[in-house]
Amino acid sequence: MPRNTSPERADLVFLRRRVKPRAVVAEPVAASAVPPAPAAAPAPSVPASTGLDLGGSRSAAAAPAPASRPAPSVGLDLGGGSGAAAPTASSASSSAASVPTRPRGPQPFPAPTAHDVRELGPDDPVLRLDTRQSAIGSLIVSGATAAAWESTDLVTGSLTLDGAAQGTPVVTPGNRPLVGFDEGDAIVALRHVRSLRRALFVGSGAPLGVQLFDDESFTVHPGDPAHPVVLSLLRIDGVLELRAEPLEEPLPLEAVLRQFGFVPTTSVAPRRSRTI
Amino acid sequence: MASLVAGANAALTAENPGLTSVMVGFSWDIIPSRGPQTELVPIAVLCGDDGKALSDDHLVFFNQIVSDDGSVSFASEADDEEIDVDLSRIPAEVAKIAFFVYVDPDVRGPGDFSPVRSASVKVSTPDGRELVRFDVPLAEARSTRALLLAELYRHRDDWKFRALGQGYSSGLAGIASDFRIDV
Repeated sequence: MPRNTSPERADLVFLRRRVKPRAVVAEPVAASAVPPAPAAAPAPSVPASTGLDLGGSRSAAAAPAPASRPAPSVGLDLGGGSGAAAPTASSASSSAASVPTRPRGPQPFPAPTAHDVRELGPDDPVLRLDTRQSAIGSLIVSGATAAAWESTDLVTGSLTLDGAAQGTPVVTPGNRPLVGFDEGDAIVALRHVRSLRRALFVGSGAPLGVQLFDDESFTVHPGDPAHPVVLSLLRIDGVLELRAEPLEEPLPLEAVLRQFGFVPTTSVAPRRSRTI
Repeated sequence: MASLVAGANAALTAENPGLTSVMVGFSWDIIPSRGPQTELVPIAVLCGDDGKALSDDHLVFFNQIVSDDGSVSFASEADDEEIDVDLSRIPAEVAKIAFFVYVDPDVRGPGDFSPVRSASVKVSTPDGRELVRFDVPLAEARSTRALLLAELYRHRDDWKFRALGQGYSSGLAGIASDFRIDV
């Protein structure tokens, strides 16, 4: 098999955190006893498949299907046949039986916590909240004069402290904006954090303050007049990552939003249903 | 199907031989409001012999959806919310699993249980057969912000389910304090 000598794609973000497959998957390939299998090759009574198995190409003569149970396979098996799916009644009915342990797969790079950082700025530009801090109560950003949001279904909008709105608001089932202003503070409704993809908070030159349900709080360094700092929020699965982002130059709000890729979606006012 | 009153218990595994997993479903009915509305959040806490949470990771709710050992998982399907428990996979150090519902403490008028008309918790088999149900008495819980609904606990080699309905006026903070959780 020829080696893949193509250069690493740096332009595809999702490939940068690629993790090495676990050894348990790769190991048995070398030890596989499955021959290249011409049609006449005698098949074992319970064929052991340890490598890539595309199923459908296997001829009936080469691989008589065992009557009792499917072949144990530790490799990729895309075969629709060979008794592959055929869920048993018990596995189909028992949701708990298929419960995985907490995923230990790709984890984001280590980052300081809200407990470690008192001020987000040049020294500590990023911190990550835990799953509880990211989901309980409200995330309060004081000192913000504008906030922008993008929901998981890519509904985007922005709102300023004085009420100027662009794009589409996202209202949660509790009748609160997913991101909005209340008594001068920008608020994120963390009960619905899984509806939020990202947000941005812009200040007016004063430090921003961030407060959590557990009374943990920190500030965001405002930068200098030539390079103001905004606070970006990104949800990664169940945790929120907060980052102080210095701007190249002072910019009007629309330009800041554009620079961060917040394109307000068209808002359609809901219409009452007509009575006949 | 048995209906429990507060304080009563049901011997789940003793009365249902072969029962290895259960679904704990939460339902409620809230008076609709045009303004900010009470939002209830169910949470399961895996506790040790001392009745306290084994760790902050031994919580299961909508944003921490599987316990470390995989025995308790959050799902949201048939009921308003649902937590699945695989009894056979619960580690030996877990003596009980406490089930709460708390009012999300959003700073914009979090509310309390006043607008909650009814609330119940039920235990079912994985195929949906209801084993036991507890309709929570809310008369004295109106001003509270969290409720300890019920607990699933070990009794010798079996698992029992106890209906509770104990209110916390201090909400999630009170639960965190009582169960030694850092939230």
